[in-house]
Amino acid sequence: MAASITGLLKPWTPRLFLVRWSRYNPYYLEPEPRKELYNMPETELTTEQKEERELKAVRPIKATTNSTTSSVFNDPVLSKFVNMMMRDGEKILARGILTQTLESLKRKQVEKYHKAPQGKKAEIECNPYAIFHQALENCMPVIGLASIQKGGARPPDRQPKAIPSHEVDDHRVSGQQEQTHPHV
Amino acid sequence: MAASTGRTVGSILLKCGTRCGSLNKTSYNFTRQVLSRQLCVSSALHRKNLAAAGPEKFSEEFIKKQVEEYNIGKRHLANIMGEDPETFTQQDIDRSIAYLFPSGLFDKRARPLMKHPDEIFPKQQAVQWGADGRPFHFLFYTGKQSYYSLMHDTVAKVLAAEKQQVLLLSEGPVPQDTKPISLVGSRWLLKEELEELLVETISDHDYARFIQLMERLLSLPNCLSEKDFVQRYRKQLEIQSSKQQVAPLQYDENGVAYSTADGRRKTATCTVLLRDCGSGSISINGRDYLHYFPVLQDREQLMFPFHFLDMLGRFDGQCTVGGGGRSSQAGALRLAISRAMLSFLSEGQVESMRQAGLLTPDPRVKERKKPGQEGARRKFTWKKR
Repeated sequence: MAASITGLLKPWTPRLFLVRWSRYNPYYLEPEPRKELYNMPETELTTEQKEERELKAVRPIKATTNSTTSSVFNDPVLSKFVNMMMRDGEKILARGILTQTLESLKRKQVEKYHKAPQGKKAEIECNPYAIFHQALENCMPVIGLASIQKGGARPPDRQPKAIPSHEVDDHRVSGQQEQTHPHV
Repeated sequence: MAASTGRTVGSILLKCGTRCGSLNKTSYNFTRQVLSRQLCVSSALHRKNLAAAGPEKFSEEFIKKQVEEYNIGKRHLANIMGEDPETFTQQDIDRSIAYLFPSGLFDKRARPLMKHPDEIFPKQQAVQWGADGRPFHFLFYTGKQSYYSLMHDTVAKVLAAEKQQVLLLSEGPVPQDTKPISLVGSRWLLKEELEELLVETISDHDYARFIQLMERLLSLPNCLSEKDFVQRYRKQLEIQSSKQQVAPLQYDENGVAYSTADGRRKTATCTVLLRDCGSGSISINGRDYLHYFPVLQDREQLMFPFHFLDMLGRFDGQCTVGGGGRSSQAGALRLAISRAMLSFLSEGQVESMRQAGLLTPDPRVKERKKPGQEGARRKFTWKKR
């Protein structure tokens, strides 16, 4: 007899109120809105992807947020940026600002493209999304901090640990971390 | 009078019954039968895990008699209600009892009920010792013999698997494969379920140790032979997509297929009527969707289900929406459109929609304001003095 999890599908409040809790039961998995991933045939999947698919088949999935779609123009990094720019919940204004920025980027780049000599045209990047992502990469820190737990009454040492920049989150890295290969 | 003396005799016997075991059983059972010869049984027997309270309080003959009485009573009830006794199911019984004995009691467990005795009298342990008073099982004096014998068997399997691994390694290095037993579609039995299986109460610590031991068994490479043993203690999870209720497709007088659905998000409610016309026009509350949703994000949400399934220009939609704000109305419409489209889709597409998060109603609502704080999370300004 299959186990029923009807009790977990109701909106959920935790018994002990933690500071960061959500209306979803922790049993729910994150949704995947990109449609290309669902058209992949069985042969192209790795074992992890197959396991993930089997897991998704038996677990309930959260609803997709309002700002996510399956469109090609939907970019999770850009959505995050818009949310961070937003003040007092004015999403329309924040998104409008970002769209205007991308448009002005494109205009400037196209102007440069038309003014450039024939040989240099290929080097000018006109895609505003590519420019945005490259700019974000350039701003990312190369080194993050990890606190090391050591026994004793001394306050914990904070040693700078070399972490590859693409693995660093935008907020502070805390807790124990394994020594990864240094990336300079 | 006889009943009261019977009850007092029964109460005296109850106290020494658990100690004397089988000796006073017959008189004990007689008083029990006199007291509980009823169609409907009280809720006192619904307590948790009565089974593990001790060796059997209800003998086999008693249970058999209860089953016979239940079956006869079922036929009587069918005759009373004027229905066929052969095809009288448990649902019909519940309906009839609710009709004949209407009860306004709030606690559902306090209402009259008539169920099969196997559901009311829980499974019990048979008497664990023989006529000479000597227990059958060698682990009886641990107090939790089924649990400890299970652990004992599992440890024996672990040791055997480790021994086999050592033998294989001595012959030559064997390449490590991935986990031989697949654990994805199932979960471990919960503590309550394990207690039910063992007919014994176990503590949280015992349960944790059991799970730890099973995980250890699974971590060994040659545990494929113990697959059946392990599967006995795992419960299969049901496939989520089978829970989706897909309404059958309806056809109007022109032969055009259509379907309706509802959707809700925060306080916004909406209904959607999708027609398989091929026009791709959507009207909301009589107005075009471009006029109703001037913001791009809302229109993106509206088109999300269509774009996901590559059916952008295929459907013609008539929607009515009320309540909430622009964003929640868009979310409600998205849910309603996804639900309406289910009737036009295959099973694989339904599953991909579900995994994309289109079919889950969003449970997030405005969090309440708490006393002592300015808002839901915002605290009052902290003043040092």
